[in-house]
Amino acid sequence: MRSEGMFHRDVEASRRPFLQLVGATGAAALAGCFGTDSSPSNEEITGDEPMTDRTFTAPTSVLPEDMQWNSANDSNYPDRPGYVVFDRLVYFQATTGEFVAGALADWEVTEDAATLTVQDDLTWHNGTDATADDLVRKLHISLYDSHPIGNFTAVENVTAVDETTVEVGLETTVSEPVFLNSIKSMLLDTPAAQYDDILSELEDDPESTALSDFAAAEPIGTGPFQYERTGEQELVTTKFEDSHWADRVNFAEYRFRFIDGNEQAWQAIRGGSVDALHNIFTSPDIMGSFPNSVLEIQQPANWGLSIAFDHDHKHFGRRAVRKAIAHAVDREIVAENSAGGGDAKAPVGTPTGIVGNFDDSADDWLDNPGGFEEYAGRNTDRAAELLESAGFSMEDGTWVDEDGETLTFECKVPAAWNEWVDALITFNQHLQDFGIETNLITRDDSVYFGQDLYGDTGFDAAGFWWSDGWTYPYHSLNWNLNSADAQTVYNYPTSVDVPPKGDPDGDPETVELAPELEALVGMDADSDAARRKIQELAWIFNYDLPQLPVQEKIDQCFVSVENFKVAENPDPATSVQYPTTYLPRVGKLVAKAED
Amino acid sequence: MQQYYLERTLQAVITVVSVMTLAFFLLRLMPGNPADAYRAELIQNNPQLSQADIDHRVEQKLNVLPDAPLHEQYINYVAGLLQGDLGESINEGVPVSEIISEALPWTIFTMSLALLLSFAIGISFGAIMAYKEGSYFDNGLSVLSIFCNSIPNYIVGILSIWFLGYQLELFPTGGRYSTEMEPTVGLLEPIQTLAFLGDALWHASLLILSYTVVAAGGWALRMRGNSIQVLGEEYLRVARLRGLSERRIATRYVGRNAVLPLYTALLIAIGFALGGSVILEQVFTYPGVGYYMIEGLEARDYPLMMGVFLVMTVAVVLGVYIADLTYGLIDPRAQTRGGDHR
Amino acid sequence: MSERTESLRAIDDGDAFEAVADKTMSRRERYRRLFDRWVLAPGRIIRGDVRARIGASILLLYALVGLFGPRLYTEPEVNQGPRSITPLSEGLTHPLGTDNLGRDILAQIIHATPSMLQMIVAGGLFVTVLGVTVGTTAGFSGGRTDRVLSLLTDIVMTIPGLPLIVILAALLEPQDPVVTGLVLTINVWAGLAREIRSQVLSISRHSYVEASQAMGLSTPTIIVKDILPNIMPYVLITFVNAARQVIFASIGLYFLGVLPYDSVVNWGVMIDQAVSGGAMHVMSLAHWLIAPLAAITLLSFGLILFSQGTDRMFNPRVRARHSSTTDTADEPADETTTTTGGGIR
Repeated sequence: MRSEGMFHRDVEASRRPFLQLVGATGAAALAGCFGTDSSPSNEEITGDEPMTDRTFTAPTSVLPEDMQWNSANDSNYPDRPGYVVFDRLVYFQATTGEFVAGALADWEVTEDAATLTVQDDLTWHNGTDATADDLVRKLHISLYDSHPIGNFTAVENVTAVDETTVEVGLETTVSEPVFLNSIKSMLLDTPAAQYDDILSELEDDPESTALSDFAAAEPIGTGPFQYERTGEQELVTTKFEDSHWADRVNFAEYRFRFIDGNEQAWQAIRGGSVDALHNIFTSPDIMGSFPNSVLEIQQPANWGLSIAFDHDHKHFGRRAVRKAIAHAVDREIVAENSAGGGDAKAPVGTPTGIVGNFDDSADDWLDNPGGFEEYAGRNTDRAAELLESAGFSMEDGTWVDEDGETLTFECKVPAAWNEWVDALITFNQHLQDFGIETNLITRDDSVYFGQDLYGDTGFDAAGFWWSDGWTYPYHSLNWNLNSADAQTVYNYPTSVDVPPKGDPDGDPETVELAPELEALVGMDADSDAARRKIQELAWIFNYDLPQLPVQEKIDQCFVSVENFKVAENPDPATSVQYPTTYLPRVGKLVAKAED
Repeated sequence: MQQYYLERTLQAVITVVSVMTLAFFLLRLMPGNPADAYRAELIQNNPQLSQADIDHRVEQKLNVLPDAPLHEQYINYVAGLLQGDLGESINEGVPVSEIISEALPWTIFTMSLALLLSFAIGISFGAIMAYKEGSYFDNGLSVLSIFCNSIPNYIVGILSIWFLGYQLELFPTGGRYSTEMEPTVGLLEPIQTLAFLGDALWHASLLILSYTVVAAGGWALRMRGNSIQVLGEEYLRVARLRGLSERRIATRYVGRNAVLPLYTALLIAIGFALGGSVILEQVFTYPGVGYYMIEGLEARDYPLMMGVFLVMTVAVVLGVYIADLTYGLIDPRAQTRGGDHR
Repeated sequence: MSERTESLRAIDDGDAFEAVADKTMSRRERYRRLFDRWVLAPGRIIRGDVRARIGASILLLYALVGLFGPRLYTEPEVNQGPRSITPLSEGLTHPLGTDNLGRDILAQIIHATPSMLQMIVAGGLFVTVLGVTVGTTAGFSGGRTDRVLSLLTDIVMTIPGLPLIVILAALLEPQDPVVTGLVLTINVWAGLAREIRSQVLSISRHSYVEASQAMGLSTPTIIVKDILPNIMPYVLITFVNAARQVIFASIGLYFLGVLPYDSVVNWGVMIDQAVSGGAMHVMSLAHWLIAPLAAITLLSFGLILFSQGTDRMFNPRVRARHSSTTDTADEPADETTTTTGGGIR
């Protein structure tokens, strides 16, 4: 099945070849499981598939009858259906790191302004044209709603130049990837009919809660499918013929079925009551129970688990202890256990705070990757050496500090995040084997985030994340070294003493972190200066370990090719979030001809 | 007699009020406030959302929360309750009473069916076991009943989902009714109504089964015990001497006198059944009141949790109250005991 | 409820006679009688009753596993075996197979036993002590104390147990097994207290208690000597009910993730991990789910069998029949008092 398409498909050159490998191994493993099976296989997409009456069905976790369509009001906003009904401004291809057109046809970021061009044939579902004014409205509303673009601009700087062009005056210099990253999750979802009044209320009173209170009963979007109706268990959207994307869409309906929980989702795709699952972690064992016609599409999440240490903790405040832990824990085994033996978690290679470990592209940012400490794991000799040098000693199989106090800690994890629990069980085991007494504690999600991470209870060590969907290193380095979260969640200091890059034995210098990152944000992403700065910060990360990055997630999307054809990895379009909502737009998820 | 009714009524009222008070303060002491829960939810659903964005949204939500002192909140709450206002769900943004009134019929539907079914099965088998006391039939069924009664009902639920739902795909594993089904209940559309009820029943069948299997074992054992006791009573011998048919004795004397003590138990069990739905509905993702209790707990949605808890308590109080008031009417012997049957 | 609606027939003339007769016996004779009453007779009943014998064996098995198992069998450790292997597939190395992290399933079952037993014992003792205290206090003191305690008992009995436990578990987040046991049985004592109160009321009207009072015996002595033996069936039944509630609720709440857990394994957590790990979807993972389910069911089954069998040992009328003559009459109706409608109240 999938192995055919996998190797021979002609794709754009990818700077990240690893996914192909991952995909191929996965395919081989799956092929081995299934043997001979006569269920339908995927077919080549020709681009001239005829229109069909087929319905594509996918899950939603919001009860259709409860749905409201204002994305700024979080109660019962249906996230995945929103991606179908509304267009994102831009789409991000995670494997190539490129931004591609969405509601925006083009964009340009210069030193003092960003010029955004709306697609000229964009139409709202109520029939009116979507223009530059609509984009201005969206940006204004977002700015009133404290969107991060407020870091570079303000309401009065955002104006429509002509029918399709919007100019965003920039108050501080930002490089293009930083700007685009900040708008990449933005949807064009504020039509005049519903949001003009709300915007004027916000203009009168910026503190008004009109926006977050508004609950839109029906959505008006510009996406390829428009709202039709909701039933008890299902949301029905139908093809919008005037859509900018309509030419590539060859099926009549896109439905969302209410499905609560992973077990039900697996059952739904097994039983054929849905055609796809948007994004769901699924172990190889469970994949083995899917019919042959179900394809897995992987995409790097650029999001991953790390162990956050409380830097005010008596022991974790010490660099040697963090390093010893990094040496003692085998990240490869942790990631493998977390993925249930599969390939959906990529272990972090050399911890530098730069994402791209799923295909080793993280190292592309480094001139000399070997100059960084790898912390290969299960290196107990090195770990012991570090602890001893810091005044610890081994007594009765456990490490104690110079005051005779046992090196022990609690490691917290949110109970419902099973993959994290599995990862941390393994993490703890490795530390116990090394003689550090650890105790895993699962916490209720709300208590975990509200009290342990962001509240007063705190933690010794806890599962956290070291990257959040970004690929440009500025974001993850800033998150780990300089963000408010770094300072409030794990009490990271604002300056650190580190030896010069590439010379671990050199004299330590004090580095103020905030100015370093502020310098990086404005640098041209392709410049040598930016590259140098990134390496300097990566060195600090690698040497001081604000967190221990453990793994990167690889999102798994499943599509049944019973009635549909779909592009497979490594087509970069499959790495746009989510394949189920993006691929239909670009004609890479199409219905097979009806019999 | 009048004083007895008065006492019972007073006690029911006191119970409801004290449970309200208890629940109110307990829930306010919960770790993790709604803001925390909301933050967790945001992070989980929108991994792409920036921290500033999340902070902002949490803050906006917080404005909605009452910052009044605890006692003021309590007084407001009680005052609201008296007007039938259970507050507004923080998470869903709709009145709690709306959520509960929407969910409650489903729990009552499944639980009352399950309860009646288990009661019917239980007393039938219990009576037969008593008649055939000591036989292989009796011994076998007794052990089976004990066994069934030993398994937590949600474990039966997991097993039935596993085999009948996932493996054999005979039954749906969650939800209230099929997607295609238009909910119709009305005398004017008898066919659609029947189809709808049938579909709803089909969806609830595993849940009902799980509850019934366990509960029936308990009822059977109790019925068996009661019947054996009745069978040994003096008046049965008298009845036989009077030449009454075995059938008549079985139904008039044994049946009646063995089932009567179970009447109170059944009424109280109905009251408790709502509370018993908590884990079971979660296992079946069946959106009844028990389901919303856990949902409310996970979201730290105080008003929702409190509302569900109160409804469950009131159900028990009602069950006990009705049992108290009506037992005398059903079993004339009880009247002379002045309601001391408990 | 049935505990409430069915009256206890433990008190009959013979027993009263026996109790009075006690006073005239020599000390040695009394000890012999006590030994006979509390050790030999129960032993005989357990030996003579199939159910009690099976129940006792099951409980003994769990106790042994709980006491010695963790010392004899290896600790569950990540990657100690291959991932997700089926039982016996590698001979006896992993007799019940492994889970998705390569942890031995039997090791998890065994190492989860001690804390479960601690929880059960803690819950049972808590319920017994509180129930007996409140019940006897209310019964003996009468008046206002009685009215207040009775009202309290009635209220607690009316609060639906499971929802209350859910709320308390989330509020207190108990991690210690003893504390968890107490939280999970928070409402069970009320039934016992009420039963004991009515027993105390009825017994204290009996002539031999009056006689004891007339003889100048103190209230505690009367409780221990005259009342306690008569209420033992209730205590035992309540203990078993409390134990079952601990099992039902703890497993359920661990399964739902309401109770926090630490490195110590637990059957409910195992079920949760098995379900989310896909054990319901993939037959080759079935052992992962079946093992904890079986452990729970067997323990609960053993508890009920044991309590049904031993119900008789404290019931003098029945015991007399069982231990003295080889009796043909069958068990009394009391046996059904341990069963409940469908789980937790």
